[in-house]
Amino acid sequence: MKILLVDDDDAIREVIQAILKSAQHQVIEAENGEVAVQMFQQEQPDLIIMDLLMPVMDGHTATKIIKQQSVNKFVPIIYVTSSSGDDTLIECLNNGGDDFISKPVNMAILLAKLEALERTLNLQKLVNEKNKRLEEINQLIHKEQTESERIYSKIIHRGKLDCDCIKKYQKASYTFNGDILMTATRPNGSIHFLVGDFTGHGLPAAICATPVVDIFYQMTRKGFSLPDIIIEINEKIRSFLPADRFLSVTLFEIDVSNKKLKIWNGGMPEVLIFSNDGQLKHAVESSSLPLGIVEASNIPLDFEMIDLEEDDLILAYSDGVTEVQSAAGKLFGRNRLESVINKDKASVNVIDHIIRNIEEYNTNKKFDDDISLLSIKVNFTKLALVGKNKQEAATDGDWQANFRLEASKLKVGDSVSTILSAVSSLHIHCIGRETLQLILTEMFSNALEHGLLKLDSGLKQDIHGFEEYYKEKEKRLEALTEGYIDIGFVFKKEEPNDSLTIVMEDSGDGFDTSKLSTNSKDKNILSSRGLGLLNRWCKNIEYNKKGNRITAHLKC
Amino acid sequence: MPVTSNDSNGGNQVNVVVSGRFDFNDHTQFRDAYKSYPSSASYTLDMSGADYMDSSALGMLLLLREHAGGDSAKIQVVGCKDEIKKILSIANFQKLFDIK
Repeated sequence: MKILLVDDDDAIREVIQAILKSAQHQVIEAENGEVAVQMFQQEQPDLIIMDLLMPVMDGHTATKIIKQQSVNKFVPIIYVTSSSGDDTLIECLNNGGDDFISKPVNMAILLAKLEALERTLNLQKLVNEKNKRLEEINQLIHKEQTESERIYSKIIHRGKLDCDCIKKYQKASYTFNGDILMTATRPNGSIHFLVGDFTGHGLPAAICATPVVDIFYQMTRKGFSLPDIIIEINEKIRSFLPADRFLSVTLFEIDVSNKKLKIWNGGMPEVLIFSNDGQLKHAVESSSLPLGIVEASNIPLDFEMIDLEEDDLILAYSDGVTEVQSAAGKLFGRNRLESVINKDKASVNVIDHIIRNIEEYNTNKKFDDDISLLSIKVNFTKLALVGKNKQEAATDGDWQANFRLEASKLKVGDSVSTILSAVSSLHIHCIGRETLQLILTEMFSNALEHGLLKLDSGLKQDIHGFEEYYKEKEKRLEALTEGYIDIGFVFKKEEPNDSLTIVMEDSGDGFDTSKLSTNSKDKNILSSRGLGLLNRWCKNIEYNKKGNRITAHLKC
Repeated sequence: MPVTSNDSNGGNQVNVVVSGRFDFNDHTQFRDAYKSYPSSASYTLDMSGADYMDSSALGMLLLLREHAGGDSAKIQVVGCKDEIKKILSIANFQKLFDIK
């Protein structure tokens, strides 16, 4: 140890110094308190041996100054006294000393005391090092969390819709909010909403949320409907998250042109719909397990359809809202929430009022759970504009795409879905994904079943034949080794309406197109439904003479 | 919150008892309470002493369900107070557990 030895008596310093040096300690000396204080600052000794009665500055005063200067570091001070006993020890401790040794100095006792204090010092040093390391780690974590939060917010808020009738509020119980709240528009102009709450809070919940955010935005932009999105989210969570992680979520779509709300709730609190006088019109309860627990086929995808009126208010929220606690530990509760909205007459600023009430209620300002609220004050003109803006922003102009499906490809998987997802990214705004899927399916079935497999739809005259027909189809498809179907898309941006043409050609022998007119008049419900449907959705349909190519001009 | 467990019928009937506030802090205790029992056992989760559960606790029930064989799990949840029943029913957990 580096020891500062303070004594005005040269002889005593000489003796003690010799003892200390014999025990391999480094010794620096001072002849009074004032010099000791100076040397303490310059030399930073580990321990001080201090005489009490000295000229210029006595030992007690020097000790007081030194202890004040070393609050964050333990520097033991041993007094050298002329007396001994309990009173001396008490006086020593009261004056800031840590131990004492009486004159004449006993070498063995001094060295034993030094050894004991050194052990304490080493321990102290270890604790200090660990504390320093902890502080560093703490700062690192804080830095990482702040940075991650910034990235996460960017990911999750990218789809922000610009409409003053849609309001959101989120408050995290920790740095991260495990709740997700998203809005996005489909190419057809309707708007999708998602309010979800992942198991747990903070960073783990936020990590789980990231892929869900991606699925929601991507699929909505490509025109997928909510049931497809629900299935995809469910499968994603199931495939890569542990069993105890799931997503309580409500998804809904506002179909502006038909003034309808299509809504599904899996594990979230009721979504509330109020009329403009603040009266509750509907409460959409959870009708399914949260997502990520069971297989998609076990999830009921029944959407509630609700007629919307101008100035209705839709409110979705996470359970953090109703579970806010008062100082006495009572929950805010659904009834209190409803009465706040009643009083507010379901105004466009209803969320502000709810938050004010929650904050007044939660007097100790402690939030255990993430809080999220989404309100939509229905204004059809504004909502239609939201959908339209996004539509135009996403338009890429004209495009063409051609696909060839060979026999080997036709035998496996769902060809129509493959083609559909390929063209989805090309922005077809004028037509809904479901309609496009139906049209493609009908054209494709005709090309495959009649063109390539040469099945006779006459078989489908009755239920029995219908079954027979599909059995035969399976058999022939299995045996198929050659042939192909070509599918071409031509999309043109035109005024007043865009145009989309789909051409499907198979390598089969074609059919006698003149028979077609009589066939379609035959109102058989089991066969020829397909062509009837096509006629309804398309502006017109043409066949080539050979009968192996059909061209459909879609209504845009 | 203490989690305790006991078994009867030669380890084929396992009772897990939770009390107080059932949340993420009980994660380890809860898992320890059932992990030494086989997946073939019948489990009863006694919630009569529990006042509250959060979504992490719902997640823990799913872990127990996974441990007990997933879709073939035999798990009864008994003694739920109204508040807890409501939380379970919003999550539609009656489809996964036999809630008495």
